[in-house]
Amino acid sequence: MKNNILKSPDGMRSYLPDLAFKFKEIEQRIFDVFKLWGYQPVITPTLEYFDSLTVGMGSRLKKELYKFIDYEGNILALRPEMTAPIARTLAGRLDDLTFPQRLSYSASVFRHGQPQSGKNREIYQVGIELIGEKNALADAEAIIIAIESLINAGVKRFKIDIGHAGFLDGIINQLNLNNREKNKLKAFLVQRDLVGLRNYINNLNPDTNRVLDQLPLLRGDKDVLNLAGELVDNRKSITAIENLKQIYSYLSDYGVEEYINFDLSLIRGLDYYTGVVFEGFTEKLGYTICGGGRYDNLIGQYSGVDLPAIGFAIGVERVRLALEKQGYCFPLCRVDAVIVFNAETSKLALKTARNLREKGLVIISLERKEVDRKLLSFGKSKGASKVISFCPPPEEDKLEIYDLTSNSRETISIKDWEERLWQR
Amino acid sequence: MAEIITALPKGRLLNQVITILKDAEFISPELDIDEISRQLVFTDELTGNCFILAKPKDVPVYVEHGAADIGITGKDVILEHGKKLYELLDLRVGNCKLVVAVPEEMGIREIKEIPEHSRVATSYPSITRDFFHKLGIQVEIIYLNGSVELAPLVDLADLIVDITSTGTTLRKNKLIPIAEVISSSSRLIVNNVSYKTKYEAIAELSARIKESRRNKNEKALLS
Repeated sequence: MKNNILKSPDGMRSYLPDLAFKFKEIEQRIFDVFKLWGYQPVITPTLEYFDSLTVGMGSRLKKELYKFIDYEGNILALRPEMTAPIARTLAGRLDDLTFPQRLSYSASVFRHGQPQSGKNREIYQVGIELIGEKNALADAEAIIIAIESLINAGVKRFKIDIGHAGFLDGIINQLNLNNREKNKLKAFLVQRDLVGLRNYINNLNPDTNRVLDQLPLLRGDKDVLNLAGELVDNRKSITAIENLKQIYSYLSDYGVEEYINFDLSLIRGLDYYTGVVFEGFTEKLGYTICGGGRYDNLIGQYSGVDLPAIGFAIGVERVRLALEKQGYCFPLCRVDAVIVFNAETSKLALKTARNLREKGLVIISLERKEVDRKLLSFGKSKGASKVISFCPPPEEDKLEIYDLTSNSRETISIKDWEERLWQR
Repeated sequence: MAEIITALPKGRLLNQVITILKDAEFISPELDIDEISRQLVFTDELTGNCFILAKPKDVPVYVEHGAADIGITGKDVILEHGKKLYELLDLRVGNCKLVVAVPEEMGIREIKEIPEHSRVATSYPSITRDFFHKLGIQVEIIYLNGSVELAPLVDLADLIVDITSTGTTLRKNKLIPIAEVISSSSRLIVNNVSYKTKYEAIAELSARIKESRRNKNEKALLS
């Protein structure tokens, strides 16, 4: 046990200010956007019952959960994503709440994934859920918020890929397969194993696999939707295409169509998506930075009453990586001045510090015998431009100001100095 | 055309893979394979493509994390890695099988006869665990990095799950294959995001490989 006292568990880490402030900054900027759209924060427990978290979840993600047993023998798990906890919360309050609900969250989720992949297992996410609204406008709203969030966070040159769970579902249903074959087909698609998929469909009815063969080609701008529309003749897929066209028209009404790309082969891992699905990415970063979609059946699995919903999550760490790869410079955490004083001058110094803080300046206060080289370099390391010294008391009502940018020093009466401050 | 970074598998497959990529005009024909294989990273001046030489087992890692856009490695490795990447094309080289093999004197000829709690040596612990799990046979897995056929000889394991292409190594060590776990060949794999951002270049490469393979096969049939 002793060996572990300085370590954190695999995939868990602490963030010192150099990284942590970037996390907070990104979260804040994204939350600013959520707020402008009328989304209000929701908080759910970090630990939930395993059974409750895994409603509508595929076996693959189930394996990635951290599980515990509580004092009563119940199986608990750390939430691996936020949608199920929010769905569960709402499902229990259907009578008290008015819908639609616009909810936002900032939370960490936990997955222990493949041990060799070296990824973090505590993942910081921000996201929204729009619950109780089922139309293309709600779909477009979620996608637009995702776009504006990434823009406001500072990400450049990103795209949102949009697909539709119903489109693929319609095609697969049309193939006249039994359930076992359908699941097998979906497994190939989810695992993105196009070799396995091709081999498998070649053994099926060769006539019906024409569409599946074309699937990887259904990528690109809105023309893809027309192309896809010509390929299918089943109700479900056609409805899906119409839905996507309607969403696109709202997206271009709003003026964000430049960020949009369609990918009708897009499949997101979670099994609960029923409609539009989307994910965002940038060049140079090998992971997607956000993802989400419509899930109209999930809340019904908790409450028995279906309630349509759409949502997405943004990975804060991935946004940070994308920004860093794009050479983005975060504004420094500002410190305006360091105030130094000794026991005799504390009253004057603390009062001055209070005044300055009330004016909105960032002040670090320190009790020291004198101002020395070490203290000046401390000030510099914090990015402060000035050290204001009340020690030793030079003369009554005078103080010393060290300018760290020009490496100069001046002695000034407090009265003069206060006047100068007011002029700022 | 977007610049593509490719992770190539070092070792016995490299020559075949480079030949395929040369035929597809992805690597220029003048490049000397012996010289390439001594490097870790090289850029093909003519085509502008960049290559990373990695252990076959590491190729999916480079690709999954986006250090390489695409990679070439065996299906066995991809399965063991637990992929979160696209598998685009079967190159049909490096064909081999992952088999369960038992020592001759064990007298077992069928997978069902394997006693519970047998010790299985393998470099593919995850595939092996899944395989026996599905059959409902409980085994103890001993992970080895290579020379797996040695394990039964020194009583480290009762049987092995290992790659075989011709069966020679197994025979030499008096091991009999009793079941096929998977059959494998080299695959072209693609990073999830590169699949989106560099789709056209990658699709073109995939089409050219397919075509050059087809031409070669036709020639082989005619000669």
